[in-house]
Amino acid sequence: MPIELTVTLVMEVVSGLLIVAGCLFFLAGTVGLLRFPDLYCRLHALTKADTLGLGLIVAGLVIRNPAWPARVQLVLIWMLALSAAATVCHLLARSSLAAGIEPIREPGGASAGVTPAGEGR
Amino acid sequence: MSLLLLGAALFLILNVGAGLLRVVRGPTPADRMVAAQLFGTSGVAILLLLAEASGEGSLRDVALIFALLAVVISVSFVKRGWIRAEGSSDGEADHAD
Amino acid sequence: MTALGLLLDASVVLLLVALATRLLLTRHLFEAIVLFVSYGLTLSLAWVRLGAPNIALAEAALGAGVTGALFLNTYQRLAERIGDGAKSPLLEDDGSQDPPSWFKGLLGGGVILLGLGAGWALIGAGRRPAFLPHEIAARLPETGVQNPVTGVLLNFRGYDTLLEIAVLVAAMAGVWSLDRGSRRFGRARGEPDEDPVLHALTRFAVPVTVVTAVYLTWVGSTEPGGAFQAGSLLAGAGVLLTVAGILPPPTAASRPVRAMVAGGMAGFVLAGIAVLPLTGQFLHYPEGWAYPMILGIEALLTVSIAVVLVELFVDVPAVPEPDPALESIDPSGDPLGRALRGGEDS
Repeated sequence: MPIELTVTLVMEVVSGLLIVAGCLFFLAGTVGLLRFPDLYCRLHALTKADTLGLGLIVAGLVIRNPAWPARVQLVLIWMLALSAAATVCHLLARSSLAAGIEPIREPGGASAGVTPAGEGR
Repeated sequence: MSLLLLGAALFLILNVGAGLLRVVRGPTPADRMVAAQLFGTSGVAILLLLAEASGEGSLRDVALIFALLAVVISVSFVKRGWIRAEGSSDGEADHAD
Repeated sequence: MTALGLLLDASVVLLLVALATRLLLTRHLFEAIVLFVSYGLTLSLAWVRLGAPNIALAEAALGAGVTGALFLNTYQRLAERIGDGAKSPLLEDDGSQDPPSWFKGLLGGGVILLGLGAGWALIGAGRRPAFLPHEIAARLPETGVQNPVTGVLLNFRGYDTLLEIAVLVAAMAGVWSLDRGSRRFGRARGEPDEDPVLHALTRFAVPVTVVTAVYLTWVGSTEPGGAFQAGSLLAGAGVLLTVAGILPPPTAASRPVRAMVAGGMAGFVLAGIAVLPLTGQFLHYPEGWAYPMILGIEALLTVSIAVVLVELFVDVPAVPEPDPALESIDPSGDPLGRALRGGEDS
């Protein structure tokens, strides 16, 4: 009994830590979204931090949930969110660049002369 | 231990509320879409936490729908090709057609 | 813990009110669209907190997802029609259309009165015993399904659902008849046709979506789920496929597309008529047949809803472009319109 109890306790604690860490990444993403100077920085902050945060929360929940179907579903949802965030980030950044929204090159906010439209890949 | 789960969900909702300021501020449509993306990811996390806290497995289905439709919205936005630097001085009237 | 739950509910409500306020006050159309989507997602969370995952599913899929995408379409049409100028009267704040303040006060007062009345009615409803859930639970075995929502939607109130799909089919017919064919969606302008990243995502996401949709239709008889949610998910997959250029946009010229659009409603009506000789009542399923019939109808409905939604999204009407597909059906183009115009001339 003590060993099983300890295992459960450790799993609870690990899962809790993972969830809290995930929340912190979400916070970081939001701070970046609000405080970073231009679209590209914001994309960078948000899509990466939030996806990692979601991954940590999913990991915490997988540890906590004993049912295998639920675990598989959780991981699938995370994989979907992961690939979606990466794709959306890429598409948004590329089409914004093509539309002529120039990234900030200097800390002061001056943007260097980038060639905007139609470069393709 | 559902205290932790509910607390995390509450934290994430407040987090989303703060992030939505970016929707109001803009300045480009793409910036606003990024904020919507934040809502998509956070909404998934919130729903998963609530699913665990309440034992209601069907909330995971709702989370899946959140994830999928956030993609559809963002992709359709991008694919329309009308992202425009609203705030920028030159206006950028023409796209590469 | 209940205190924490209350706090959670309170923040959802506050977020809803803040979003709605800003949504109504802003004059920036694009901001309003994004806020509308966020509002829908928050509302979905509210339904989850109220213990109604079915409505949460529908709200997220239809209220936020599909409607949001349709709004984006509309915005783009407006922007195109006005011209590519970023500053345009319809899309930006110009303040010229402001109604007088007494009018706004009257409107605001009326809405507040309406809200107070609704709140009073809700609180007053506490005096009534909540009898409906018990009634439904008592007679649920007769419906052939275990999910009370599906039981109500497809058995007790089958008419409602039939009329809902009829509305969708009618809307589709309306769009098709207004439309002289703008099928240019699959290749969005300015974008290269082949986008490897989008392709990769589509190839991963679409199978997941289709499996989930089938699962949602299937599980609708016992748990939250059902045709509308599954249909909108499938529609999401369809939009992705079309946007990525993997599938050609569905058109009215294609017979399978028309069949799929009509299939849900036709199947529903036929099932309703088929049971007439057995039970003597339209849509009154005979004993033991309720479950397979409901499942069959749900499956047909799912496909219909999905195709209609993709079509509504993809097929943006009102750009009068010659459409080879339509021209080939009738080489003279638009015979009825020509006849009418000829009548006017003579």
